[in-house]
Amino acid sequence: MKKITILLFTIAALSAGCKKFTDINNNPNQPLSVTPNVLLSAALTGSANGLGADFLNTPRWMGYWARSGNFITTPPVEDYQEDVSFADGDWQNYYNTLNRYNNIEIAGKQSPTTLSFYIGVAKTMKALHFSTLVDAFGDVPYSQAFNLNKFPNPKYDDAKTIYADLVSQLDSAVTYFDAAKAYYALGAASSAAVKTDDQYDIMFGRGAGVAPATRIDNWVKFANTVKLRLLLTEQSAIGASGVSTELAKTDANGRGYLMAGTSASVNPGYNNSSASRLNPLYNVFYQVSGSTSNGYAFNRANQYAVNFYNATQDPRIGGVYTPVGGKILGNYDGDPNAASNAVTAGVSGTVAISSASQDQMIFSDFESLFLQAEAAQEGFSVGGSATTLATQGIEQSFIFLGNAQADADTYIATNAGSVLVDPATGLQAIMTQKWISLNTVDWQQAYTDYRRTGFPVPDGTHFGFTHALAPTLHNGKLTIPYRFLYPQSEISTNGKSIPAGKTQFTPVFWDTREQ
Amino acid sequence: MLCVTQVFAQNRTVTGTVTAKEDGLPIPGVTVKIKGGTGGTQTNSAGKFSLSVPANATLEFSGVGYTKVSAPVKGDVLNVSLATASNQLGEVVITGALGIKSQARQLGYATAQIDNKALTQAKVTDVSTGLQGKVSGLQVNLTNNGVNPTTRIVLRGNRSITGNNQALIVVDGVPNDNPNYITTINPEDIASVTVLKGAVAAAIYGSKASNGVLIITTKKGSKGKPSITIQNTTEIQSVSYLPALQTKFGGYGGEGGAFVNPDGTVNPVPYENESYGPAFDGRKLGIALSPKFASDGVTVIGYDTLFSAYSNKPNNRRDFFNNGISNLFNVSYDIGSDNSTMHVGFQDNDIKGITPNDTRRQDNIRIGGTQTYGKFSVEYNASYNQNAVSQAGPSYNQTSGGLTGDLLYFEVLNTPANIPLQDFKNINSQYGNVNSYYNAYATNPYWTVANSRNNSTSYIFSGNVNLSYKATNWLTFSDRLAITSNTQQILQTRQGVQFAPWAIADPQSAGNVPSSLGSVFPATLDQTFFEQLLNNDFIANFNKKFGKFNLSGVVGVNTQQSYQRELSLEGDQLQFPGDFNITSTLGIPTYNEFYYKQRSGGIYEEATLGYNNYLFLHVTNRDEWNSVLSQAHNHYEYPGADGSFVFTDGIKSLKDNNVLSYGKIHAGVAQVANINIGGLNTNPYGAYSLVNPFVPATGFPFGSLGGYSQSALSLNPNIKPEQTLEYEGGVELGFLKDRIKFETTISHSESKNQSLTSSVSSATGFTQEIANAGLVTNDVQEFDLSLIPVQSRNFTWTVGINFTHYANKVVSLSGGQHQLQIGNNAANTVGAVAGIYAVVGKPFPIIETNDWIRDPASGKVIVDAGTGQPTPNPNLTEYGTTNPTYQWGFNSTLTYKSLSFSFVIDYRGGNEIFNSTASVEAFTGISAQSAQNGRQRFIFPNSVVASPGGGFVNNTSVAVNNGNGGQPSSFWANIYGQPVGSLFVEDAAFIKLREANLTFQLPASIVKSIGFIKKASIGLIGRNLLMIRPKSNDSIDPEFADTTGNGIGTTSVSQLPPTRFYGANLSVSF
Repeated sequence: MKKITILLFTIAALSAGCKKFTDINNNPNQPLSVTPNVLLSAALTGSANGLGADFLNTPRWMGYWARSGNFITTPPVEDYQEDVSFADGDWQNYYNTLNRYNNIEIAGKQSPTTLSFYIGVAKTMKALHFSTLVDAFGDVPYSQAFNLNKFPNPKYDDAKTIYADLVSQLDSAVTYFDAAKAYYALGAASSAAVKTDDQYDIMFGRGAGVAPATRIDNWVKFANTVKLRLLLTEQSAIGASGVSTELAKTDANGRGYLMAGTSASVNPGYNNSSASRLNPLYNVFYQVSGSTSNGYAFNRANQYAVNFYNATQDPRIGGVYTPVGGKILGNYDGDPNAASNAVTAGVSGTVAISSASQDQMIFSDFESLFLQAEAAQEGFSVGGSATTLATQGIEQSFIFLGNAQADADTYIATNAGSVLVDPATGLQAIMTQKWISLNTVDWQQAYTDYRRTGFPVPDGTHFGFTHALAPTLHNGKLTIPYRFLYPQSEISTNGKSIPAGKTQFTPVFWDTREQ
Repeated sequence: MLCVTQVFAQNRTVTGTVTAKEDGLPIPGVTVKIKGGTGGTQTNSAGKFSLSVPANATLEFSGVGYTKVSAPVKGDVLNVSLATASNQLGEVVITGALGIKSQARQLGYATAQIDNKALTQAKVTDVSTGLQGKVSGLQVNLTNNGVNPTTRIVLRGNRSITGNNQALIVVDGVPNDNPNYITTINPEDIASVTVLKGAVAAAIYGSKASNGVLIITTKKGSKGKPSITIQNTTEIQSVSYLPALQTKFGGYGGEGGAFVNPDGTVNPVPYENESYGPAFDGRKLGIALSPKFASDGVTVIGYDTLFSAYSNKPNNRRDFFNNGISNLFNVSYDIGSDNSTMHVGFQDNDIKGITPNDTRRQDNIRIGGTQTYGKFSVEYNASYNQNAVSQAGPSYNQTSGGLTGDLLYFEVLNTPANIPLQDFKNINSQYGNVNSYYNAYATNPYWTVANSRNNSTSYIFSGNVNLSYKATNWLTFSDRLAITSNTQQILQTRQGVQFAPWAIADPQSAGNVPSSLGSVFPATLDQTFFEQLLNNDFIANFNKKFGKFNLSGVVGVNTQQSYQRELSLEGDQLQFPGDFNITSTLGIPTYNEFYYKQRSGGIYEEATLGYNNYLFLHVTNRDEWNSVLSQAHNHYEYPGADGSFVFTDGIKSLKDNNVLSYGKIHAGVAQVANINIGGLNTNPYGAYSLVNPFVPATGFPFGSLGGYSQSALSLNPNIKPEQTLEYEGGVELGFLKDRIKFETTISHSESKNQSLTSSVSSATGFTQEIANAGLVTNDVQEFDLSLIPVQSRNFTWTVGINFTHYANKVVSLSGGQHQLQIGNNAANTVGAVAGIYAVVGKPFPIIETNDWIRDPASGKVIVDAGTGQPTPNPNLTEYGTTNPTYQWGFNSTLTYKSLSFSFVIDYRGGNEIFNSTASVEAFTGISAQSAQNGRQRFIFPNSVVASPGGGFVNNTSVAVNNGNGGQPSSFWANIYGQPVGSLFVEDAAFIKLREANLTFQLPASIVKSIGFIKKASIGLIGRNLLMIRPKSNDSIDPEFADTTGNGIGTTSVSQLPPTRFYGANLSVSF
């Protein structure tokens, strides 16, 4: 009996000891939980990377950049033959960033009172990025996204349905922003919390001690502006009455849109201490040392935009392109005899890409002004006339590129009556000026605008994004693709969910060219 | 009556010495018995014996590893020499799992044992290389061939899709699952290597055993007079061949302007890295500029030009590589008395590689020995290995900062055929300096070897001590404690460059990429890695006879801990040339720290029940607890059972048959588990892989601003180990007193619950997840045949042939997925891309890459009726498996008197490889293939065009519209070399003459006359002397791989060209 007792004791001691012996699996390398503010700063930086360094083929299609004659051709871009790797990295980066906002929203909903600001930001930024994805691809995973355990193969939601939900999410975001404002104003939040939220809000706060009321109003304006962009984009699908109904809700919050002087841009403190800390757009063209990189050697000025600037005597050309030998010459992207870098201008200019530490533009004031101008031109009430708003848009674009407001006014006066410049002439001028203003700022939006409005019109002289030598013909026409192909990573991991039969010429739901 | 006879018989004392026939050295421990009598003794450490024997007695001499000899007693002295017996099937003692020695007849599974002689016959410096081609079921891939080559050792093929498939290395009973440590053992210190091919043999080792085991037993010295052996081997390594390159066309890449003549023909472009220029015509061509300055030393007033004939410069790339030279020096000292033995080995290996400035110096010292005192005994072993490697790093070219840049081999290969590369050898010369180097898009490779270095030194200590206490004659307790400690220091440095203003001004308007950078900061990566492995086994070992039954076995407890820590700092903006201290960097260095610890505990039991020495049943079981899994899943069991039946002893009618002298059948089954959640970051143990961590987002922290995001890999707290169930069965036969030996084993394994790290839709918020899923089956057939066709007094000829057939299949993957990517050729920055995949229903891994669009009816390539060009298919096409499915090994030794010649040939085939080097060559127009049509328009072979009436018809008239390169839509640069990888999927079969050696052993008579030496030999050795490949592979060694992981099947310019070794060896023993 005694022997058995000893044996049992030994076994018990051994297994207890074993448990302790092997209980050492606590990760000393990375945290397993973090506070929402560090998620916010990381998410906003992800947004900045998306705007500054994703979809880098599009600027070539939009007549902004062109391949250098020093490099061999890149057929998928120049012959308009997309393959499934064409936008794979961009797709993955966008979902990665969206997942960060989704995590913020989940964390926020754990304590909605103290974290309603975070929920508002998450909803606003999700609307911004999901709409970009829809504009680029059409149907995308949305309702089942970001839930690996439940939906390992998230379904692709109808693009139009996604848009409708994003619009309502933006209304909801405003509600959360208002709740946050109340929370800060009531003094419910400690001043430390207010400061922290301000510091990690690297869009409208940046640790500059911005008063919560101002900061949050800026967020509301931003949310309103994003909503306006979505509504105008989907106007062909929801009709003018649908747009008006939604704009009425925006009017009700009374904060208006991003106006001259207030752009949505991000800066976590970009600096040249390492490649990963450079402004993302700057990093496409420059190295840590300040020397130009391969991206600078490869992407040169595009002759289409150069022609436009020259034809309208637009001084903004120097803000975007760097002269070589005192001249600004470009290539036509896809030109078999593209000139070498010894004679073609670089992309960067004096302002657009000038510093490792510059802000990364997310949504510019001039884009907001052009949007409002377009809305006004279409007869929607946005609180201003189309001409005034578009003029302000041109002025802010000039200022952004280092010119004076007066230069803009001179420019408009010089081109008075020009359908490419003069806002008074109507929609073409508004959209064409928006296109040239978005040069090297937001090419993906320019691509969307081109597909939905047809502007800038390829007139054979100034524009004509049909330069490929052996292009893919669509319906007998030379035209740039209507959308991006679903990427290889999705085909291999979520292939069964991908809608069938979509080609690069399947229009996105708001694109009416085929109807 | 017998007793009476003995009493009255006239006894006398006989003395004598037992020596080995082979070398005349005394053999200790030989049993000397009186035939038909009862008396006996053993030879002492000097091989001497003394025994009182009756008159006319006959003595029998038997020693392990020697043929039994009977000799009648004539006189007082009886000297006997014994011949080595490699052919005593069934009696061969195999050092198996846990270091337990057992006779081959007892084993219910397949093993192979390689002795020191076979292992080191070609004077290899790495154990794994010495095993190549010698054993069925064992595959060693030399994945890379620089001065510090890497190998991949796989037994019975791949079982785990994303986990480890490499064999477990056990040195003197101590397991180490990091196969890299095998390179730290001096092959000359190894007594034998036992290969436990499958799970059945290895199950007792637990979680690391599912891939088979290499049991390495080191020398411990031997009883007898002290002996010293000194060996020196000098070897030359030379490039066997470079890819087939075109010799007719020089540089041009689509430049316009002055390079295009009015008639549309083009002129050669001296600064190009693409070779799409006009045919060589011998014209005098200026290829590089050097400025002439005004008196101010700054203003450029003109240029000197380096001229070179526009013609092929044979060997301009090959001559970049040197003949490598290595010197291998070995000393060993062996000593032993009746109670103790000791072996000391020292090795110094000094290598200069084929790449200029690449060096390696490895020094290794090992002490091993035994000591017995009554019931106590100790076995010990300690070694120290220091390995300093210096290899060329990446160039500065086209960097986005830091230590990135094109690889050296890429830059050497892509030198146009007309460029006299050696003219740029002096990097401080007028034209060799960075400003004047001819190529506008690449770095002078001579600059790279001088200024970009990857230096690494590892300091590895390992030791173990095994204390035993023999409690009774059937029970022994022992404890084996082992430690391995590895400190590795890595310092990568790349010098900075400051381009001259005249070079930055780009006088040739070349769009010079390097000089456009203006300046490049020096950069450094400083990394320290420390690993410590601890292992302890407490074992009770019993062996008892009950009548005709024999029961032996082991009960043991194992505890093990692995610990690893790494710190690294990278600075990309060093301020001063030549000063690579991290404190000299501007900005914030990139820093990294990892810390991993893992522990496991195990209890194991093993028992063998033998009946009459011909029927054996063997069972094993192990319980294990491992720290890296959750409490709910961290305990698992490894049961196994096997049996063997020596039917030539067990069946009376087969006994003592001279034709079939030995026969055994065996069968076994075992289940093993394998924890394969490691491989994250640098974590090989799988620690901390249960809960998703947050990681700093790219760029963070920005000053005092932190930012975190979820890791991209979704971890799984409920992960379980992979499970492999393996069955095996086999036959061993010996004919004609074992002059013919034949062995065959078939095995089948099923590996389920794989810990698959598979890609998931990024819309889930992750890019990868770990899940238990998937099933892989693996069927392997092994055959080994050894023959002694001739065995006479002066001449012996032995032959060994082995054959293995591997067939694995992916039965299922995670969540019904069809395929899983496990690798690709990521090393290249240009050219086509291929992925390595596991695909349901296929063997794995297989290649997938893009093909042309083909006519489904005929399978022919569709070309455009206007341009004559084919179109790449955007979707991937599946190709063959990358793992050999057939493997032959052939080795033979011919000995005539003192001369012996041996060689090893092996064949592998049935697999394919993606040769991305060829793709790079096509892209730049240097491959022989790209010039096959003289750069003229041609009709794409075997193509079809759309027929106006629908369908496709054979293309007999539409030629490709541009048969050159350098312009958009030109065939070679843009269509052929770029997106379509199917062109570079090649048959990976090869036959290699792995080893050959001719040795002259100084005859015993001469040795005797010299007196102070015991043995001496001189030999010529060669390795990888010959390789035969299919015609389609004209550029690479298909054994190479971009990885030592499972995603083998792609090769690239990150490997050097294949090489051969030849040298001479001198060995003297005192």
